[in-house]
Amino acid sequence: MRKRQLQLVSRAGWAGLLILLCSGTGLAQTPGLDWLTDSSDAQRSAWIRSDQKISVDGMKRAAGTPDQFQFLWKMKVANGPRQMNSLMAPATLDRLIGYRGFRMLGFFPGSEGKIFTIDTDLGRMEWEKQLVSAAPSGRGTLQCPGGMTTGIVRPILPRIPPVPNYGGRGRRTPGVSAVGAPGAGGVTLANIRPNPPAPPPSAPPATPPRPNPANPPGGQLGAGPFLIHALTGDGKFHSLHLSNGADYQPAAAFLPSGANAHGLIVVDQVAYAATMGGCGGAADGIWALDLETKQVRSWPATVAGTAGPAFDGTGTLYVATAGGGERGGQIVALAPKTLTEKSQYTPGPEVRFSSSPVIFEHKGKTLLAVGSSNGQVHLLDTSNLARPLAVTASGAGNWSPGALSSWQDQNGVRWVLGAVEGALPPGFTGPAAKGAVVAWKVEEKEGSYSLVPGWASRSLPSPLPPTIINGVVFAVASGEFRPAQPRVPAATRVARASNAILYALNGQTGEEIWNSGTTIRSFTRGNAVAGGMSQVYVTGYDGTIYTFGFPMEH
Amino acid sequence: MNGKNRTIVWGGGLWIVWGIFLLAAVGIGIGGRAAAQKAASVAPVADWLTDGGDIERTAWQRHETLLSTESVRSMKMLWRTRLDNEPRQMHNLLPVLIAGRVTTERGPKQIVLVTGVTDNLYALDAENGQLLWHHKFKTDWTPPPGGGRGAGILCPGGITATPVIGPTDTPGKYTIYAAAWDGTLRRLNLADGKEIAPPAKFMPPNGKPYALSLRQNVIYTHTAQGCGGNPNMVYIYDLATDKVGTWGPAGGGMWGRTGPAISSSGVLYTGTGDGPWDPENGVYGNGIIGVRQNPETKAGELVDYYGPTNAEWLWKRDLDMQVTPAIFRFKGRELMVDAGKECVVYLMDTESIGGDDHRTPLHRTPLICNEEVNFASAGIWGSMATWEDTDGSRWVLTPFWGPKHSKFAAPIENGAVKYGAIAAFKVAERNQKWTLDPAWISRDMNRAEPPVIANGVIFAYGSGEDTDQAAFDIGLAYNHDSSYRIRNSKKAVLYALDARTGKELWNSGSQVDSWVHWGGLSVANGRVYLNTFDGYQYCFGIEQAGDQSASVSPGGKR
Repeated sequence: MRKRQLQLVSRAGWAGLLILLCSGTGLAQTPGLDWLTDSSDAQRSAWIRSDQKISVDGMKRAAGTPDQFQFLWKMKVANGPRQMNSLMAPATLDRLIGYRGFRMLGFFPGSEGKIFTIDTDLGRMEWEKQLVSAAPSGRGTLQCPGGMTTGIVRPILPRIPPVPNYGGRGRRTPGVSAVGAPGAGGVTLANIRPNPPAPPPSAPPATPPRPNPANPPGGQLGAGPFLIHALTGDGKFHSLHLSNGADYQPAAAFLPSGANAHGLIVVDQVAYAATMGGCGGAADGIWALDLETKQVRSWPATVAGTAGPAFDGTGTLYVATAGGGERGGQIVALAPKTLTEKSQYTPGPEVRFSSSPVIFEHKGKTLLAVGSSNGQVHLLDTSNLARPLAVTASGAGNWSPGALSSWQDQNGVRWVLGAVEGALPPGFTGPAAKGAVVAWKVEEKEGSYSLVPGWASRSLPSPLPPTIINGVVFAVASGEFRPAQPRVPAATRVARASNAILYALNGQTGEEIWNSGTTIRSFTRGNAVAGGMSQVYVTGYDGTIYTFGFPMEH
Repeated sequence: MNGKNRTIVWGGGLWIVWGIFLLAAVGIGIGGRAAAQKAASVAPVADWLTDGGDIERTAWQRHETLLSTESVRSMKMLWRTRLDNEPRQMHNLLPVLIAGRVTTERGPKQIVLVTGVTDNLYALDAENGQLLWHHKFKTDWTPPPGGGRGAGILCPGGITATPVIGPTDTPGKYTIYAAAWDGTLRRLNLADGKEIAPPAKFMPPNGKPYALSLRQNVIYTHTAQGCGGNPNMVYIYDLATDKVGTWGPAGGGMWGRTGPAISSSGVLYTGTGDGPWDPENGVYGNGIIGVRQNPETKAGELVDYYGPTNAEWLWKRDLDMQVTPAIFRFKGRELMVDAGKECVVYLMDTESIGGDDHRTPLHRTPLICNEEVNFASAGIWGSMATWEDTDGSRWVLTPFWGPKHSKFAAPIENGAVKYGAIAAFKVAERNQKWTLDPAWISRDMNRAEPPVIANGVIFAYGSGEDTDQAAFDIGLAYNHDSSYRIRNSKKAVLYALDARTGKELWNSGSQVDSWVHWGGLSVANGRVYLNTFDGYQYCFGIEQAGDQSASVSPGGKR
């Protein structure tokens, strides 16, 4: 390693070059293009807003040609399962300009505390690392598997990414032929502007600006740091340089060792996670780690859903609780960092929430949708949780653990999707009997809201929460064996599982466009599959990563 | 004195006379050889009037007779001269031009023209490195504070285009054409450095043009990086009409080190930097274009183009097509070779460089290097080179950075390659199928740079430059400030290789005290020239009578 003096440099000229190099996107947060945490973003939308190649029309047009959406590569990594946990969905980075070159990376977490960072263009290992954990060895239990139980995350700003208005990358000005008048030089001389004035000397700020890892100064052309984060089974929070996995700083104490954590997310310099099952002696609830002071706070609750809390644009967290005994579930708004309760939605003792919430903007409001165990979806206004805007009829089906998903199409229609096990919710028709993805439209008329059934997919046994990429819904029949009896051991569940299948559906109609057939040779489980930059990743329980997308000649 | 003594005296006198005669004869012989060599040294026949040797950018000195695979083994540093040009970012001195016999007030001189980035031209006597004249361009234009848009390593400002020297109708008289920092075209008398015409409007100021080329009274160049806020264009200055034709923009710029290569029909060829490949919409990123001057209007017009089938990949990974091509005739066809950071060499026919679909060259080699797919410190950078052997076979040479690709092999490999090397190919045609057959790979060089060829000898050098642009912890900030790379650069080393085997014949060892950025080799009349970031112009060659190995102080004075 060469010795050098670390400098943070930010220049207007380099910012301009950034626009040319990276199409105006920074590294640490590429709004709506990268998969940054469970269900992609702080709102848990599972929505990649735009894509150059994945679209309903694009996939249909290429169907049947050598360039069609297809299986690209697979890689089996060295990670053994812990109970029902194995490989998890990756965090992604669409473009790193790194010391080894430009890269599109997927950071795949393994239950044994490993990180597999893969060049997802080439299907080539970029680096891998075994995170050190002081947790006791052993395979844990079904309820408390131990090891790494939640995914790799990249820092996020709390703001809600805008609805896409996708434009092409730069440097698309066509070449033209020209000639100047005699003695006048090239025609480009006519476009010269006066030199910009020298910037006035600026006084140093009274308070030095707080470095925000979610958005390093200068974006990708700044000095970073460019980090990923992970939570190991001993409850330690790790921060690593994403280009090579080197430790950025010593791991920080966060959760009790052995805790069963879910929904890890880093928002504006604070890490949050939900704990479940009382594992490792950790009280169930929401935990927050201030990355600057290393102070840890917690808010006790039986958290519903496995995607973790959802955030509005101000950084406020919204947590769904399952309730217990005679106490029904709630939606609780917590202040960032302090986890102070701000407001609640308490529908009644008969309601048990069963999914993580999803947050989205709609017609100037910030709304929240969440599923309950009686098959309902509740629609709320985050500015006033006291009363719901709409609640769907109850039904016999259960929501898959995880979040609902949400996206807005080019016609301005807001969709809320969920993966349901068993019978379809009321208002939906279709052949599904073992599970499906269903989609509602959010409608508002004279201030009155409703969730109108849109479409139900084909039958999808044991579905995962859906992922949406540029109007295409990627649904997964996970193949997981999900017995009604919760104490069925892992070995039995694995033995009775079947192979997963990935489907691509028209996000506005549910029509099937493509499926992966028999490519995937294992079951999968967890939250919504990760995707972006024209690719989708399915992680098999057997430790194999499957990547689907459009081929590109290398 | 008796008769014996006289005889002895006479005999002794006779030996003295014979001795004087012999000494005189030897002296005449020595003086004669010296005179002959001195005559040879003041009556050279070779020039190097443009970067890359000729407008085709072959980098081949066809008229070399002094340097050979034998004589080069005794090559040495003949002189070095320190020039007082102020560096800008990592730029200091540009590749030199050589005029073998210039008529000056001090008699005929072999002149070495050195360009300094800060608007300076220096003429040195090739015999001894002495400064003949120095000229700094004057201008009313004021550089922007802070360097202007994009200022930094990629946009240093100053002169970035190696000038070109044009002969005149008068033997021994030459005109220098240079693009000054303010974007104007300057014309100077090579003999005395005096400007012979007012500055002419050419390009926007503070841009980044590349080495000028002169063909039939027309100057050609292209620009890159969007420096100074200017679009990346081809510029064509018609000296007869003072009209400047343009074509562009194209990709992320056109940045082959020795500027464009020009075919026998006057088509300028260049690679294009990062950008989409979308010819239907007039966008030509990561490809190769051919532009010609319209003979009537003098505008620049696109006449041909080639886009590799993996152009999308090249763009995605910043694997620009950024190498100056080389053009040559072989088996009745005018062919061209080019390359880019991906580390693949393309063989094309200038009749149609990409074939009917504009995506099919004659041949494309496998990956030679850059297995890691890096955008910096790997791949092919700079320019190609080519020469014709005495048996008619045609050779193509390319430098490359970083390790050789694990799957690439050549029949002769002169050792493991870690930091860079020269790869040599032979052009072959079998049943109308064209190939570039690997021939040899040189020894390892620390950032191998474009070679030149002279009389069966390849001259190449490892620049020693730190070419990294990112670090694992501070990312691209490593490239914000040139001090990192300057501090981490090492000494350059010049090599002489057997052109047929790549075997090393000689190297400069530790004689070169600094590293090279934006430099290049020039060769003529038994001498090889290289300059370094610390401002030294070096001359290596075969020692001849009258040579004085010397080191000259700043300003070019002894």
